[in-house]
Amino acid sequence: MTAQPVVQRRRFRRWTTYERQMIPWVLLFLSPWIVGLIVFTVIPMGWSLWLSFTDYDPLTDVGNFIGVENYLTMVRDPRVSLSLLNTFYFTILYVPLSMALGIFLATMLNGVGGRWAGFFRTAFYLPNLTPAVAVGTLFLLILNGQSGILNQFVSTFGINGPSWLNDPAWVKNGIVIMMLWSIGGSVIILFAALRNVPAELYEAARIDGAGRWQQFMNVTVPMISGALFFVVVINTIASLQLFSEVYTMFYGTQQGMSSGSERAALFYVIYLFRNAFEFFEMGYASALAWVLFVVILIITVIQIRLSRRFVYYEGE
Amino acid sequence: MNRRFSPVLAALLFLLAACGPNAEQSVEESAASDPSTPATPATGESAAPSSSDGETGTLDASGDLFVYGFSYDSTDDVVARSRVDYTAEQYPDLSPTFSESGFEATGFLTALQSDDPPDVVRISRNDIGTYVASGRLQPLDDCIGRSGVDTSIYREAAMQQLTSEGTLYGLPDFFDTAVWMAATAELEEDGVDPEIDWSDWDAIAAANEQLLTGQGSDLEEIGIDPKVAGDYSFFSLWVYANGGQLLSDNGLESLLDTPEVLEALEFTKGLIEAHGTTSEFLDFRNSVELNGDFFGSPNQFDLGTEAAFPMQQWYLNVAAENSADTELTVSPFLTRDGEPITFQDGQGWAIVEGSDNPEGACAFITSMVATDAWVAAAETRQAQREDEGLPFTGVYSGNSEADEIIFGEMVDLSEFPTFDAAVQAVLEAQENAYAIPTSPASEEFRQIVLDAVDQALTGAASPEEALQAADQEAQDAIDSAAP
Repeated sequence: MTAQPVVQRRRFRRWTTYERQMIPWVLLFLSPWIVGLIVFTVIPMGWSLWLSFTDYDPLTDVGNFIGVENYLTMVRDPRVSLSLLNTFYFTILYVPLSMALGIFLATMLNGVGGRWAGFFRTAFYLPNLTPAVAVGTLFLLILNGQSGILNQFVSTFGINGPSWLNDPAWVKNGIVIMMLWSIGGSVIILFAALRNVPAELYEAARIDGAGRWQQFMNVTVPMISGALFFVVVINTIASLQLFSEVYTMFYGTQQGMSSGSERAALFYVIYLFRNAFEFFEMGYASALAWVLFVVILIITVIQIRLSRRFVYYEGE
Repeated sequence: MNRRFSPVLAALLFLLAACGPNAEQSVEESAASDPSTPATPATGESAAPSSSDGETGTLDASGDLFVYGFSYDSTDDVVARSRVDYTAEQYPDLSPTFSESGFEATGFLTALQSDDPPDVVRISRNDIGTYVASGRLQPLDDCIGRSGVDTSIYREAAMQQLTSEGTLYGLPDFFDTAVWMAATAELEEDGVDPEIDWSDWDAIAAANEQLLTGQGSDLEEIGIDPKVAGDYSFFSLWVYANGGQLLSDNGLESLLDTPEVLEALEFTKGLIEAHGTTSEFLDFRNSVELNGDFFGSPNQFDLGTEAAFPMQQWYLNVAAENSADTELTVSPFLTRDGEPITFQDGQGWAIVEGSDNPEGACAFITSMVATDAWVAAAETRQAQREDEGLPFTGVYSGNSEADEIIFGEMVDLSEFPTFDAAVQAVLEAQENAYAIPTSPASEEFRQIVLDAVDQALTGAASPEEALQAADQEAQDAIDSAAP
């Protein structure tokens, strides 16, 4: 979802004859997107809403209407609360850290000029191009408690690193570290926003005696607050939908190699996927999907409301 | 009110399949089907001697056939390729194509929803119950009757897993069983008799203490790995050895909350915790750097980092290829009464309900597990091994007639006494294999058991609490999935 500037209420204006004549053409040119939206989003969403009120089994291709039974089962299902807690824990930890690290890296990138600028921008974005399955597999090696390079690194400071993959208390923290490796997308967005901050604002601030920290807090942050808000929203949604990397690490080909971590790594979408395609409880999985949709919607609405107090849009 | 949802679901599955888990065969699965991972492609020759039973080629089979869960073009597995070549000779008018992947539930579901669903599926025998309960697999009565196959040549425990309420739904492929494997030199160095009395759990615990080196994050050698962390089959083995079961014979009653299961969990947890915390133990075990490459070289035997563990028999082939000089002591897993016992698992061949070519499907599955097909595959493997100067440790099929020929006439390990003894131990174990009952909620039940074991091993719950909670959850899952 994209953050939209708060548009001032405008008076309704009648379309001109030309504009009315253009409507069929507009619709024609938009039709690929409209058809795609209807076929691949609207119809599946509507169908999934219907399925959530059935006990549909994809193997038998038969489903009976059972009302809100799936939703009531969710309340009683301990794995739903477990997976929600795991997901919220990850989100609460990951989103602020990704923001802080993203701003830090974007600021650093902004300070690099000359021939190295392109190299560093590419280098920071490169992890985003790595397939999720490869990232998951890579971090199985990096996060190994005894031989992984992360713990080998911290041991140089005399710290005995934890078991990131097998200790339930540390598994989610390890996943946060893995996901922070791929924040290149956020960095690029924030970097672009930083490039648009007018230099004269910093100059004025310096004349007023502002130090670097004051310039950052009173010039940079307000001027990129729109981009910050956008990154917060998309990172929150992505966190709540975390799947591929974690599934690869704890439920994919490595299943059976590690243990003690599957419950700690049971994220909401993983549980949803397993219900749909491993346990064949498609109706229940659809109900799970709709609850997640509502949760994300509520969180996003709250974020948008809060943004009105903190986000500055140039030109408003 | 029943509804049919196919068209829209097919679109949904098409989209979601792209996001699904890796459909490639796991290393372990691949090794199970061809543990030797041969370096050269199959020759396709199959000069198999005739057998008295299991005659194939008797059906009037022709046309296209789509086989899910099996590879031909993309695999170097000579055992797989030889049997397909044999089938092609028997049924030259049959044109099978393969999914070129192992069985993967999401992919299979997608294939079922397509316009041209698979005719044949190769699926784990432990998972077949879910598909039988859903009516997705055809009973084989008609196929067996028409083909004239003598089903008595197939191993009883495997057939039991493929049978539901008296009706046969599949034919067994490989027959994997578990035995103890111990690094003889490691045991002798630590003053432990390699012929441990594996029925005496006190002796096992004592040997474990004696064999392990280091503790916690300084662990240097695992004594005895019970293999229960993340492995359903091995946990079931400890339970059976202790006189219990995880599921009732009909697969409809969870028995997780029984004293035998609890005792097995407490004992195996103790074996692991003798090394430190479960996390430290697993970190060490799963570290290629510290514990070697389980499927390659150097492995834990080469590095001297693991003394003993129970494992499926196909690992002997891995060891033969990668650690041919390592002396192993292989012994049957024993009950506490001293009787040999092992789980058996492997895949089964089944015909998908609604197949467009049931005659071809019947011809294909009966041919792939025919005695002559297995013998042809074993001959190809044997020739390959001789070329490489490596011991040929046999092919373990669900067809006992084929195994009699392979192990009675073909396997000659007189130059490799270690592997000769190992093979004899495996053959002894095979005769005492039990079938893990199949449940309508196979995958869900398996996951619930693993979760309970995990919770107990990591201390998130006591073994008793974990099993009590799991028992209720498992029973609910079974009741919900039962037809």
